[in-house]
Amino acid sequence: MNHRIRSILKTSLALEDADAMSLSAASSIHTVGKWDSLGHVRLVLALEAEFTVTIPNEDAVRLISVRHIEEYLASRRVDL
Amino acid sequence: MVTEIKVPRHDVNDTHVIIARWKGADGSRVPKGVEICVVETSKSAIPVDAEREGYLGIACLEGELVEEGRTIGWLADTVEELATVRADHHASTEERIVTHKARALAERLGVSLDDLPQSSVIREKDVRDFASQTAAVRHVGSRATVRELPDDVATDLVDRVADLTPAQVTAARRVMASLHGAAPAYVAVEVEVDSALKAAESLSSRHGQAVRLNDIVLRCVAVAAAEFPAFNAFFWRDQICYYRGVHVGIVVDVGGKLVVPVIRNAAEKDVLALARESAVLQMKAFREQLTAADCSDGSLTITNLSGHGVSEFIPVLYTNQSAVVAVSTPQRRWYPGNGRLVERRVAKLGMTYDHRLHTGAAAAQFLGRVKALMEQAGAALP
Repeated sequence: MNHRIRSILKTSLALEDADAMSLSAASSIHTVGKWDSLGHVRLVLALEAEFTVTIPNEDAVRLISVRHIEEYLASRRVDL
Repeated sequence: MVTEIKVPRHDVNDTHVIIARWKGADGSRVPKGVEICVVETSKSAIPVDAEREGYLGIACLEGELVEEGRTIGWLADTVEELATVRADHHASTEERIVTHKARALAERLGVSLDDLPQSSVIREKDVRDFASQTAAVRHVGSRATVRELPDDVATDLVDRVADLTPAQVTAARRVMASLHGAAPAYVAVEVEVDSALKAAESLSSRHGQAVRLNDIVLRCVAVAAAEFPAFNAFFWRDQICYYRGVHVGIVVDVGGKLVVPVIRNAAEKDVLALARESAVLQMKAFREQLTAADCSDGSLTITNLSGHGVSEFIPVLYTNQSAVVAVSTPQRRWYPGNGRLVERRVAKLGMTYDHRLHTGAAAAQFLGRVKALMEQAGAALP
């Protein structure tokens, strides 16, 4: 998975190193314990800052896994 | 002609606002429709626009706590009219009868008599009550001069005294108003949340949107509130006032500042719609995009500390409501089953309710219904 996304997930969800390293495209709000609603807000704001992209609130609701994030950013033509 | 600028009607939960910022200078001429002031409730900042063109007169300073409907300034056609109304205002505040003891106490405590609620007679008790209720407020406004401590606290025990933000002050007053305005009691049940978590995960993957345990709780509470209308109501003057529609407030902690956006007609929406709306409101809260309308007219509230490892907590009732439901962190438990131990995830669901309206048994029945709905969530989510 993209190392920048991994780094953002680690920081915004306050993951331990081992948990961050075990992230994969399949990791989701239901498999990562700390990916709660508050962590999700921090994650979306961090993605916006890192990739200089505005993520509408309605789109943010759909970023439920690493795969969804990668696909979404690609659809927005963000250079990963 | 002189037009009074009054504190706008904003939220049923707050009777006072803080003057956060004047955007026009005192005495300056402002055009119609421009934003001249921002007032802050416990939940949001509200702009006040100039009703018409005129010279702006400021009656209340930034940081002051003022009650709804109070005049905070004026718009006058001429500078002379502004001077006249300002002089009349000062005279009216000075014409009040202030007892000798009240004046002495006000001076000792550093309380401005202008800040006291409108009354023709100010007694010592009025000053004492005001000072005890607004101890924090006195440190926020520009009239703050005194940093007193309670008599029974030695000064060398206190390292420092810091100002609260206007929002914190308003929130603190709201909490106290709630405690004084209700008879809070508490009940809790343990809920097996495995099926609810599975339902949330299944809905998420099928519909490609975030659905969490809290959204299931939200749906189940809304359904139960529609079935038990007394919990979607409030006590007022020996009456029970039933709300039209279930409007659920969701407590969001934005960096230590609590905001409570409201999902309207929640009982009429399915889990997906509720989850979507809840997530969007939380995003808006952190982006500071919530409006006063987003945060008003809640008929009951859900507060969630499940992400904080909390096994149980007792929330404070919101004004004009009679129930607030608290969601704690699911814990792993092992139960005997089929000759072996079976792991279950269990969350404590607590509820503070107004004992004037609900008996403990009624509260247990309501919460029991929420529990039943959640535990059947996997099979038949309502």
